[in-house]
Amino acid sequence: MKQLNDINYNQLLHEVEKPSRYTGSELNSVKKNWDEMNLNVLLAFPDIYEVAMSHLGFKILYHVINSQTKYWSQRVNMPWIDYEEKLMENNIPLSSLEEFRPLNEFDVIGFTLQYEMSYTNILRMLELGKVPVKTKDRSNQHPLVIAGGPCAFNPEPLNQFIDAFILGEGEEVTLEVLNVIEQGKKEGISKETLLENLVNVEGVYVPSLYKATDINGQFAGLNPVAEGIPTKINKRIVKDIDKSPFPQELVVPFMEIVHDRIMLEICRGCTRGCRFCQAGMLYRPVREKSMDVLVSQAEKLIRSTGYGEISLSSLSSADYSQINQLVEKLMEKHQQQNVGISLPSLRVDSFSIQLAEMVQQVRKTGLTFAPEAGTQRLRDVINKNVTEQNLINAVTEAFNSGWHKVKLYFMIGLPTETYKDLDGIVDLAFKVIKAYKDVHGKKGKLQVTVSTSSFVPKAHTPFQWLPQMSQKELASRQDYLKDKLRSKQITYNWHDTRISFIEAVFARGGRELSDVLYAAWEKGCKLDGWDNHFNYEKWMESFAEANVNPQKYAYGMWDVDAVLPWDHISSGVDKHYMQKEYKKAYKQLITEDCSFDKCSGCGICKNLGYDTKKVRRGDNA
Amino acid sequence: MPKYWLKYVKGEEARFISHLDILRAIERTFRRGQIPVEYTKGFNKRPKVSFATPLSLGVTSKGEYVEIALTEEWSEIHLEDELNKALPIGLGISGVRKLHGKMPTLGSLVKAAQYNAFTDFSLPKEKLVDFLQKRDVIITRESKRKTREINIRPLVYEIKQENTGLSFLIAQGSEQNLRPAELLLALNVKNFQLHKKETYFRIEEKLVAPFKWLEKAEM
Ligand code: SF4
Repeated sequence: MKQLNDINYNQLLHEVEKPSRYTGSELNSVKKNWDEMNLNVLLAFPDIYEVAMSHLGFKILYHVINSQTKYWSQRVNMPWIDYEEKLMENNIPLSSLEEFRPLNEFDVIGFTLQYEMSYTNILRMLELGKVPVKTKDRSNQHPLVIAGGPCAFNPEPLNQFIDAFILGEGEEVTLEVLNVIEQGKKEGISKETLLENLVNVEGVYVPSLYKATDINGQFAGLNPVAEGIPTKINKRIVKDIDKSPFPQELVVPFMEIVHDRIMLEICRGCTRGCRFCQAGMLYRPVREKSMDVLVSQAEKLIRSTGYGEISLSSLSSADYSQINQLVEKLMEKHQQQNVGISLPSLRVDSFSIQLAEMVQQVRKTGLTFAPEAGTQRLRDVINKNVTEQNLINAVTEAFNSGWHKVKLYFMIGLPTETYKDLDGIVDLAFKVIKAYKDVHGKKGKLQVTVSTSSFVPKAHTPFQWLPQMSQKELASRQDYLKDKLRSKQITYNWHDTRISFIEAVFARGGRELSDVLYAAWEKGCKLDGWDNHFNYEKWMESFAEANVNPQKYAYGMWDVDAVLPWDHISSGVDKHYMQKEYKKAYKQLITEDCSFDKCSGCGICKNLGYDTKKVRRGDNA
Repeated sequence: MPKYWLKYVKGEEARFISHLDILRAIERTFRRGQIPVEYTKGFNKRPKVSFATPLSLGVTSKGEYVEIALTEEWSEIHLEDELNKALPIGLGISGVRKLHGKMPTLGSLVKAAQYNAFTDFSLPKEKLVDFLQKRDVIITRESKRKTREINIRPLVYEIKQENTGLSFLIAQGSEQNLRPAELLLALNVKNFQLHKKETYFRIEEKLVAPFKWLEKAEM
C-alpha cells in the first residue's frame, strides 16, 4: 500500500492540482483494522472528490456501514486527469482514501449512480483499481460490484459491469445486502450462488439472472432465468424517517467542496408532480422529519463538524410544513456560534419573504427560482403549478428587502414547446427587471441569471415515452434565447446539447447500450459530464461499433403500451398513473400535490404499504 | 479580550492541506470545541486569528504559531486541551501562552526558521562545502509580474548534512525571506520532503524560539 510519507508518492502529489483530493484523513473519516473486519467495503463515487463529498446519500451510507463494528467502509472517487496520469505512469493502482488500499483488495465495491454521464468513470475507476470491468470476468476472488442511486432505476446500460443493483433508499437495505455477502464469504460460496442469495433481499436486482425475451422480433421484457426469482423488483423506502439512521458525524473535507456545509435532510420526497422530474417519482411518498428530531440532529452535527452553515435540504424545502418555525428555532439556538441557515431552493408559490429574510440574517446570497417554462400553457403541460404573478410577487418582495441577485431556471425542448414559450422566458426575465425598477427606480445592481437545461426524457416519469428535441433544434432555440436575452442585467447559461443527447440515450437505453459504454471506455471516454473532457466523436464511433442507433433512444416517440427496457423495475408508481399523467399533459390538466390535497392515485402508498394519510403536510395532516 | 499564542504541529496527514484550508479547519475547530473565540465585526464574521507565516503545501511542521483572541479568560492548559480534543488528525497544539500586555503581530516578528529536508539520496559533501564557501549565490525569483535576481547566500545561516537528508536554518519573514524549495533547487536536490522544526524571532543579534522571546519580552 502507498503511504503518505513515501517520498516518491509525495513527489507525485506535489505535481497534481489540489492534492488533498487524494490524501484522506479528513475529520470524522473512519479508520479501522482491515484484518479484523468481516467485510471490507469501498464506497465509490464516479465523479471527482468535491462532487462526491458533497453528496449527502454517500456520506450517510458511509456512516451507516461504519456503524457496524465488523464492517469497514472506505471511500474512493474518480481522480482528476492529472492524478490519473500519474497513477498510470507509475503503475500505481487507484486506492481508497482511508488507507490507500487498492480497489481489487476489497470484498465489495458500491457505486453511487447519480448521473448517466458518469458511467464511463465507473469503468475507468475499476480499470485503474485493477478490477476486471465485466461481471463475467470477476469471480469470488474479486470484489463484488454493486450500485445504487437514481440511475439504478434504468440499470440495463450497466448490466455487463455491475453484479447487483440496489433500488431505492439505501439506509436499511444496504446492511441487509452486506449481511448476505458476509454470510456468503464465511461459507466460501461461489459468486453465482451469492448472487442467487442476494435476489432474496427485497429491492435487489441481479441483471445476470434475467434475460431478454422477444415476441416476433419485438423486445418483450426482461424475465427471470429460473423460478423463485422475482419478476418485478420493487424499490425500498424508509418508512419512519425520524428513526432512520442519520449519522451524528459527517466527514468534513479540508478542501472546499461544492456543498461545503451541513446538509440536514428535512424531508424526503416531493409530490408536486412535475411530469419531467424523475426524482419526484422515485422518492415518493413525501415523508417529513419531525422538528424535534431535526433540531437535535442539527445540534449534534454542528458539534461534530464545526460547520458554520446548515442547509435545510430536500427536493422542495420551502414546502416543509413547519419551515418558519424550524428556521426560527435553529437561528435562535445557533446564531451565537455564528451558524447560518440556508435553503437550497425556494418555490415561487410557497416563497415567503419572511423566511428568506430570516435566512439571510447571516448570509446574503442570490435567490433561486425555477419556473421551468416560460408560459402558463407550458407550465400546465409539465404540471409546474406556479404563475407569473407568483414569481413577480416573490421577486418584488425580495427586491424590497434588499436582494439584487435572482437566478431563474428553465428547461427548453419540453414536449409541445414552441417559440412562443421561449418568448415567455424572455418576457419573464424582463418583467423581473421591471419589477426591480419599480422598486428601486433604476436597474442599479440587479443581476438576473437565466439558465436553461435541455429536456431529457427519463425512465419512470410521465414523459418517458416522449422524444428529446433534436440537437439542431435545441441549439437554434438556445441561439434564439441568446439573442433575445441581451441585456446588461441578464446572464444567460445553457447546456451542451451533445451531452444532453448522450444523456438521453442512456436514460432510456436498454442492454445493448452496455456495448456502447464498453466501446466508449475502450476509446478513453471519461469525465463526460465535464464539457472540456466530453468527446462527442468518440461516442459516435462507439455507437457505430456496437451497432446501436442512438437516435432511436433519444428521439424515439414510444408507444405507451410498448414494453420498456425498465419495466421489470418498479418505482412503486403505477405505470397506468404515468400514462394518465402523460395524457393529462397534452390536455394541459393540472394534478394537485397529494401532500397538500387529496391522493392523486399514483399507487405508491398502496404498493409499498404506506399510509396515504401520513403524506399530508401541515394543516391537512 | 485575552489574547493567546498557540504553537501547533502540522503532521503527515495534513501535509497537503493548503494554508487557507488550515484556516478553515481551525475555524471549525473553535465551533466544535465551543471555544469562546472572538469574531470580527461586520457581515461576514470570522474568528480573529493571525498566523506567523503561511506554510507551503507539502511541508510538515512542529513550529507553527497563531494568535487568537477569546471573549472570556481561559487557562492556557484548558485551552490547549479543548483545542486538541477538537482538532482534526494531523493538527495539534503543542503549547499555549497567554499574552500579558500588547505584543507586535506574530508575522512581524518572524526572522528565521529551521527546516529538515528528507531526501532519497545524499548530497556530495563538496557540494555543500562549495555552497557555504561562496559569498554570493544568485537565483532568479519569479513572482506574478516580475522576475528578479536575488542573492540567497546571506539568507542561509546554517546547513548540515544529516543521515536522512539536510538540516538548515534560513531567513524567513517579512523583511528577508528564503523559500526552502529555492535553496534546495540551488543545491540541485530534486526529490525532497520538507519539515519545519522551529520558527525563530530575534532578540538583539540572537535568534530565539517564539515562546522564549515572549518570556524575555514580558520580563
Ligand atoms: S399514493 Fe396517493 S398519497 Fe401516496 S404518494 Fe401517491 S398520490 Fe400521494
